[in-house]
Amino acid sequence: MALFARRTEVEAHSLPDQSLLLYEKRKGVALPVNESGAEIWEMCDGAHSVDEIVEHLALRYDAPRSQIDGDVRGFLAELLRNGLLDPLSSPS
Amino acid sequence: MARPFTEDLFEVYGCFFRFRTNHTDARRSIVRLYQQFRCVSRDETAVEAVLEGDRIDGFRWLVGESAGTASDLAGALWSLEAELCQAIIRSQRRCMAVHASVFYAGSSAILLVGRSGAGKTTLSLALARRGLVVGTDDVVLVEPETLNVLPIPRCFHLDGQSVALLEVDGFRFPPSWKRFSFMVPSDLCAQAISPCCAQLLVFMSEPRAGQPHISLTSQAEMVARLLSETGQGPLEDLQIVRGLSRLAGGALCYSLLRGPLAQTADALADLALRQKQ
Repeated sequence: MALFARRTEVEAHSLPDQSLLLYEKRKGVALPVNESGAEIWEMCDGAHSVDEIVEHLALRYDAPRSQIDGDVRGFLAELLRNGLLDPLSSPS
Repeated sequence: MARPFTEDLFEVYGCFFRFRTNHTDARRSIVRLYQQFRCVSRDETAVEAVLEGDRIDGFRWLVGESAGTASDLAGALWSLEAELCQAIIRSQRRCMAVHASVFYAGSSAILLVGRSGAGKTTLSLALARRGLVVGTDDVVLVEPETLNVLPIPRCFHLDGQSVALLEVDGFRFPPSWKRFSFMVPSDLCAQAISPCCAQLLVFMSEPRAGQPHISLTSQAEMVARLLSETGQGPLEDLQIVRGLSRLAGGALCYSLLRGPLAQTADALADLALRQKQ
């Protein structure tokens, strides 16, 4: 079960249009994310698995589950690539 | 016989400088550029700016500790003006310097963000032809508390291709451009600009297209774009991010995919005028 946690150095700026800017000063990364990306970011708390994130978004958005699954995994990979998330080892 | 030097004083957003020259056209040019910022003498230490014309040696210019020479007046004016712009930016204690054009439709300010060479200058002049007031084509200061946008006036730098495009678009170059390639915002419109917030933020995306396309973009995307065009200044990185987030968070944000100049300027002018209404 894959878990991820937001890095504490990342500052998240919420904008009035529900988009979010993730900013990591040391690497100079500024990553804009949309509303669904902001939801994924919030769920990267070390407690929700990727499957649980996908499940949550599938209930919220009218899109095929396979597409949501791919989008979530792609977005998490981008966050990892930019050093904004820490992968956590599975508890089981 | 050498001509006597004249002296003019300016204060541009807290940067106080004294401009001395013995060349009539140089004085007229700099006074036109900073006409809104002329001031009277004071005790405060001023940045020294000098442009000296000499029939034999060409032109010498100096701004603070920077100095150089040029064979013609346009070259000397461009160098001196660029150094003055840097001096204005360096003197800031609170404001963020953002690489952007700003133009106005009534009391609405529209910020056009784009990397160097993206075409901001050409597009700004095409917008001026359509009745919009151009504050600057290059760099603005943003006050972090009020979010007011303060245009630093620059002379317009145009290459031959841009001149040709603008002529086809119907732009009428002022006499100062024809004489020595020094054209400034007040040559296009003498209207004084009051500080105000930007209601529209537009960034110029790549590449060009057959037709222009303007689409809403997220405010977070705009903050990221603004960050990439914001230079080092007096504020900490996080203060800049927070300030730019407030700037974008209070505006409508658009992405502009450029097409041919005339259609692109028409589309952007239409957007700006709709905002004015």
